[in-house]
Amino acid sequence: MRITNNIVADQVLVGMQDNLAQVSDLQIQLSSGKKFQKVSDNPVDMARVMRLQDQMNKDTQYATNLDNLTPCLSTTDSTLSNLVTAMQSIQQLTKQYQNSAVQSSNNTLMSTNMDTLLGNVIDLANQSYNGRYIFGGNNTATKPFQLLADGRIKYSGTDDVLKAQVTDTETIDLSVNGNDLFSTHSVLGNQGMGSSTSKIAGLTSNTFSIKVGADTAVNISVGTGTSDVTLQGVADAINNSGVQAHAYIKDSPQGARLKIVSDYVGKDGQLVLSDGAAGGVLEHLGLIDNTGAIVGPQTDTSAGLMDTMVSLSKTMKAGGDITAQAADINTAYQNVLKYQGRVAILTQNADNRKSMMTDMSIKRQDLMSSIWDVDMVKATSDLSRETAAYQASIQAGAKIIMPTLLDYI
Amino acid sequence: MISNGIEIATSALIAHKYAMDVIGNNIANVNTPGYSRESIVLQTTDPTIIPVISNNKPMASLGSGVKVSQIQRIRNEFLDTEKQNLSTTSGEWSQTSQNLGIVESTFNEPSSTGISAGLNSYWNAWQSVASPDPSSSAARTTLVSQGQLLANQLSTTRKGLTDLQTSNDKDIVAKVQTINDLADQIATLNGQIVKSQASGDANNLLDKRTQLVGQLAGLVNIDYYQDATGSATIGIGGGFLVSNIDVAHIQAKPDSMNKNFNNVVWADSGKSVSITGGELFGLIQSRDVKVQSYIDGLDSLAKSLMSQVNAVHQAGFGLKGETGLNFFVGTNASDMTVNAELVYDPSKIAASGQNVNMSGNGDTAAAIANIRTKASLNSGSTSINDFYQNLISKMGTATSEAKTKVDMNTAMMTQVDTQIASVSGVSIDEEMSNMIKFEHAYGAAAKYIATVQRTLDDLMAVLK
Repeated sequence: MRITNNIVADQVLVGMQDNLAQVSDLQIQLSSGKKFQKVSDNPVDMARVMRLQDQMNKDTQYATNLDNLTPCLSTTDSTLSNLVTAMQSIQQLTKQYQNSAVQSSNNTLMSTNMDTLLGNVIDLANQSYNGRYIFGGNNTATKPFQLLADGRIKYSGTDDVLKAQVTDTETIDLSVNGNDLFSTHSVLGNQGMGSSTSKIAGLTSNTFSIKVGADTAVNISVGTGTSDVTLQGVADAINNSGVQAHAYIKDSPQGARLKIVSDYVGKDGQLVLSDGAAGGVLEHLGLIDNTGAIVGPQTDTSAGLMDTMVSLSKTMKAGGDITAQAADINTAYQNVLKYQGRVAILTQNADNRKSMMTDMSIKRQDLMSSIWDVDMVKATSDLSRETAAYQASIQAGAKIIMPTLLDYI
Repeated sequence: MISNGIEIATSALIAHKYAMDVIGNNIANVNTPGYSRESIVLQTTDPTIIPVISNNKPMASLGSGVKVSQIQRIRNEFLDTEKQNLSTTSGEWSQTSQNLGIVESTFNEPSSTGISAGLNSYWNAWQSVASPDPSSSAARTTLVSQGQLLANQLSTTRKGLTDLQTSNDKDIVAKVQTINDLADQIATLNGQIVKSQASGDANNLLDKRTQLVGQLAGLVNIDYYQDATGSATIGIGGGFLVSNIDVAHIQAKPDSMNKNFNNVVWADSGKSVSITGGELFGLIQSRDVKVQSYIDGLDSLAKSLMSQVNAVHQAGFGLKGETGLNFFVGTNASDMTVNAELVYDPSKIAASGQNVNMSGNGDTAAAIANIRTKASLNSGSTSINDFYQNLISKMGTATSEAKTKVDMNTAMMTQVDTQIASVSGVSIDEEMSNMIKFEHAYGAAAKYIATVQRTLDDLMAVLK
């Protein structure tokens, strides 16, 4: 091949440009600390990086979710410890009353003490964290437990617990609900429905009644007829009827189920359910049988702490027998201990989750680093090699381009 | 017969003077783009017949000197065709690569300001509303801002892409004008070349035309023929652009079927020009196919985001029980924005799943946050985040492919250029050695004249 001076000059230039491009690329890598800067530099690895970034971003949010709610869990824990202490005082007081001979002056004092302890327990039940009542479920705006003038204790919270989302599909519970802890009467339907909005078939009646404690029974009718009843319709009808109870639709493996929760603590809130006719709505939903007896899972109303304390105070003042109430206090005590255990497990679960998240995050970070981060040692030695090559090409170029025959004529 | 010697010497002096002029011209044009080196072709003049005494032949022919028969243009036409083809491919990919590079910087991924980061912040803002306190006005206000930011990022990115389309369209109009100008110049050169070829060599005109055809080949796919008279015919996709000295112009005409972007048609018939290569093709492809596909991708993303978020949001309840509201309003990525009612009053954001005791209920907010991982696009196989990542990944692969093509073409082009330079380029060494050769021959011829003169002087002395 015939070589002209310009070919040589052009080729030297191409070679130098190649070398300089390598040097520049390595310098960008070293200064940014990343192997590639744009998606087109390495589309495959960049896609992995973006996926990892996405995942890590989610993990950070899940960790934040957990961090936001765990202090609430420890508040619950300490509140329950205080409650246990208070209950021990209550038990002491009942024992003192049972052991003492009948002394009317002392009875009044003991009754007053019981009232003070009740105030104490209600304060604990209305404990809040960060402006949120921890035993009030989703109703954060109203104090969950109130002692009414007639001696009943009203629960204004909802049947919900605080949850934190910890993975794409999982949420974990981070509190216990007030209605279970302090035993408001609730009944869960045995029968699951496919969907809360599909019509319930085969009904003989679309009316039923709910009686709460000593209140008069409230008659409730759903839809326009027996063929126009949905689970959602039943829940809405109960919630709008003015009855002192709330209905919830609970998702379960058996489908959507109806849960009715009384607004009053303990025996004061005892629910009595009955259908307009046998084979009615409540029977279909598995709350009662055809005789009106409750068949669904229900809470034990004798574990109601606060209503028992009200009754204790009254009986003590009157100097009556408190054997039944003492037994109920014991049941309530066991119930609180059960939930204290549950909180301990929730705390442990949250801690485990947290440490799992930290581990995972470190692993993801490692993976990301191995894909994206520059191996500084290698890059530095590559850079010095490329720089040497570039310098050599400049020097050689300067020597090659210069001479022509012209220099020798 | 002595004058014969002077004739021979004169012819040698003249021929070698010309030879050195050709060398001078070569050296002068050593850096002229498109210049083909010339070489002089020397030939003996017709011999004179002189009588000789010989057994069988009465006459002999005596050389009478040298003449210039031709000044040859050293060119390999095959390499020119090769370069034209490469220019066409290279033109297309250089435009594609440039445009995809702009698309890549428009998306600006991965970065803390890209749509990917915007999406993540938006989903996280919903999570922060969902827990720990759905009634928190701080979390709700942050969510509205993140929603606006995301909508803004989508519309800004889309605007960047449509701007690129418009700029491509303007480039197309400019390239059409350049193609017409080049065609006009080539037609004029055709006329001059045919005329010059008839009487002599048209070397510099041919160089000029080769260069113009090379430029044209970079712009658009051409078919090139050269006939015996030296005239060139150039076609684009079966239609004649230049035929001898006639030119059929092409025209950029707004097409109402394609957003009033310009379509390239033949000026006389109005029919579309079949364009399959060159910068013009690269620009048309980029405008109508490549950039458009990213705009479509962004629109699908925005539409799916809006419809999914809105569907869940409509079913939820605000702090005062407001329901049925859309979170986003708009038709696609260009005009998407957060519902003004929510911007004005973030308490209307439907975070709750129930309309009684809703202040602590964040079920709807959590459900919206989980749209992030819900496989809802591409008939339920891809989540919104994955869809966007795939779009970026596709863009990265296409950009990287275009870059590789450009690199490959550049390397091949350099090779062909080297080959062309190897045939047609001026080598100073070669010219110098030729100069020495011709200079010596010139000196020898001059010396010969001196000898002839001395011979004549001797003769004159005898006659005195």
